Amino acid sequence: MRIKLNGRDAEIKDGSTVAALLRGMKTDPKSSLVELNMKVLRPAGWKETALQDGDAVEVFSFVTGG
Amino acid sequence: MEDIFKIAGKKIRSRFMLGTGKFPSDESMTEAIKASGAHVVTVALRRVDAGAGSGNILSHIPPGRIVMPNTSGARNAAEAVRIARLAREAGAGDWIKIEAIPDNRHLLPDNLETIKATGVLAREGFIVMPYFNPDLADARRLRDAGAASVMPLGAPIGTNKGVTTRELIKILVSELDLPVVVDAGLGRPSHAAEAMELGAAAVLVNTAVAVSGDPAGMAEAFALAVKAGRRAWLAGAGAARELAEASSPLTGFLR
Repeated sequence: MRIKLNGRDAEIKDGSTVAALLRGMKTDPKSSLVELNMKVLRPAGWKETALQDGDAVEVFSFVTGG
Repeated sequence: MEDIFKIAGKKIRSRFMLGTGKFPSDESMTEAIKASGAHVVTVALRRVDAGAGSGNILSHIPPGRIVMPNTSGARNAAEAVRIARLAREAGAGDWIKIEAIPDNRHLLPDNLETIKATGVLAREGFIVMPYFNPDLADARRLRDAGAASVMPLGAPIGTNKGVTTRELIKILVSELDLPVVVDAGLGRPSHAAEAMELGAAAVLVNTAVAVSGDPAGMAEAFALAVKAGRRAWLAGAGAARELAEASSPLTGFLR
């Protein structure tokens, strides 16, 4: 199925969860923040939230900055 | 002499705030934060590129610091508000430095959008520290919108030019009943001392420390300068004069 990941089209396996998506992105989940369809999705929901075709997912992380 | 610094009722241990950008390594950033004595440390938030991997910056910040995310990357109030909410949801606490910057060439903030974002976030309980072009009317609007301090720029971000907005900073300090934290453009410890001598409550520095040959050494130098400038402000500097005035008696020896 196809989702929007950080504004770009991305092909992922049907039924993938948010947690699986993050693993695939090789990002440290402890510093990751996720928005699903413009709403914040807290880490507690990552494992149980299966993505749907057409979902918009944004993944952020804290980085250095002034 | 006791000189307590508070923002939003919270006691802040140091008047020197440090940004975490541009350091050559995570380790040098950690060492610089320690050497700076900074209590308030800024971070940013960015999209993660797939496959790029990312470490956890927060794990490199020594404990006991207030981690203040900024909204860099936001071009307007709506984007700044979105970043602030996201950062808080991620457990970053209530402190937020608002940057609403539509201009990539000079990185000058948009005061109108900054005021809008300040109002929304202050109502949601954030401790809002807005970065803005020093302007008295806008500073009052930020205060009325609920800002915990105002953060006027000394010079454009990363320019190391010093307190080029000196006269405006002086006016803000004399007219405003909020802490004035000079942010951006301070390139040397003497610039930080100057800002503090003008009556700034604190300064925020990043580039000048991070790109120095010895970030920890430079962080310590800035910390000392901030203390010196603050002490001088409290002591009260003598007024500048056009003509010389002798410091020794001019009469009674040869004449």
